[in-house]
Amino acid sequence: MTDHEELGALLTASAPPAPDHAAAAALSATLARQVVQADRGLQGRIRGLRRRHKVATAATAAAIVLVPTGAFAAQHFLAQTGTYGDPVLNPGLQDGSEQIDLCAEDLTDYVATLAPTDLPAPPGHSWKEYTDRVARGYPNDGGCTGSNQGTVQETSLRLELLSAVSGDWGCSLVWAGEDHDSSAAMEARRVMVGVDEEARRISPSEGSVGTFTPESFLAQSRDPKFTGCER
Amino acid sequence: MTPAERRFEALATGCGPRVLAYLARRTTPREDAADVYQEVLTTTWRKVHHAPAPDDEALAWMLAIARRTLANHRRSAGRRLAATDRLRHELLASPPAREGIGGDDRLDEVRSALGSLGEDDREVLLLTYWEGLTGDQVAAVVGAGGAATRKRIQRARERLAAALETGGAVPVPSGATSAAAPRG
Repeated sequence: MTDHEELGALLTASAPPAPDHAAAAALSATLARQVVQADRGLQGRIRGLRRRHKVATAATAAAIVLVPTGAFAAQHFLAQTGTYGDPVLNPGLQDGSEQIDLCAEDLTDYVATLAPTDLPAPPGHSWKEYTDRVARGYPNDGGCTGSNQGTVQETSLRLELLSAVSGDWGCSLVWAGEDHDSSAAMEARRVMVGVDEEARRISPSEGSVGTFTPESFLAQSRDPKFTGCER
Repeated sequence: MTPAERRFEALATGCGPRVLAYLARRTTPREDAADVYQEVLTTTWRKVHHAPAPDDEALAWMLAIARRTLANHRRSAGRRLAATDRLRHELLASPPAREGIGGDDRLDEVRSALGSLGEDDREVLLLTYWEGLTGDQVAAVVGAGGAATRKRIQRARERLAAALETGGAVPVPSGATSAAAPRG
C-alpha cells in the first residue's frame, strides 16, 4: 500500500461522486445571471442611499449658488452616475467611460446623445428608433422594478446601437442584391464597414463586438436557418 | 451583456461545476452546497475583475473563494435565488456519497485513514486527488508557496500510507462533514 501511484488511485476512487457536469454548468449560467441581477439590486439600493446624501448636499449648495448655469443643466443627465470604468485595473473588460444608470428617467434622452449620427441610419429607419429601443431594452426585460436596478458603461450602450444598425444595414445589403441595385449595395457596404470599424475602435475587448462585416452578414444570410431580412 | 458579465458567465460555466463538486463533497446535507455556491458566485462577481485569465489559475482562484466561503458559511444567511433552489434539487437527485453503503473495503480504509490525518494534510490530499488539482493550483487554493505545498502533499501522502499500513486509522463516521466547516 506504500506505492504512491496505487495510493493515489485509491484516493481518487474514494471521492464522493460529483454532480452531473452538464446540468451543473447550465444551472451555473442561470445562477450567474440571477446573482448579477440581485447584486445590482443591492448596489442600486446602496447607490440610492448615496444619492440621498448627494441631494442633501446639492440642496445646500443651491442655497449658496442659486442659479446653475444653462450649460450645466443641458449637459448632465440623471442617467450619468459620475463613476467611470478603470481600464488599467480591468484591461479588456472596461474602458474609461462612465457608468450609466439604466433605470434613470432620462435614459432615453441620454442614449440619444450617443447615436453616431455621422453614420447614416439604415433606409426606412431613424437613429431615434434605435436609441429608443436600446434605452427601453433593460426596463422591458424586467429590470427597474422594485430593487432591480442596473448600470452599464457608456461604451456598451454605444456598441448596442452600432450592433442594431449593423444588422439592419446588412438586410439592406441583402435586399439590394436581390433587387440588383448596385448603388444601394455599395452604400450598404460602405456604412457597414464604417459601423464595424467604429465598434472595434471603441470596444474594450477584442474579438466579436456585435457588428457585421458585409461578407459575414451575406454569409449568414445564405445559411438555410437564417430567418432575418423578411420584407 | 457587458464584458464583465461575459467573463463572469464564462467562469460560472467553465469552473463552476468543479467548484460545486468541491462544495458538494464537503457539505452535509449535500444540497446545502447550492447555498454556499450562490455565495461563492456572488463573491466571484464582485471580484470578477481580479480573476486570473488562464483557466487553471481561475479555477484555483474560485476554489480559494469557495474554501473561505465554506469556512464562514452559516445557514440561511441570505435570500435563496430561484436557480439555487433548482441546484439543490439537482444535488438531491444526484447519486449519494458511496461511504458506508457496502463499497470497496479498501476505499473505506482510505476514507478512514484520511479521517485520522490532520486537517492540513487532509486538505492538500483531497484537493490533489479528489479535485484533481496540480501542486501549484493546490498552493493557490490554500494560499501557500508552490514548493512548500508540494512538500506538504508528499508528507501527507506518506503519513496516509503509514496510517494504512499500521491500521491505526481513526474511523470516519458516515457524513462526518459539517455544512459550517470545510472537511479539510
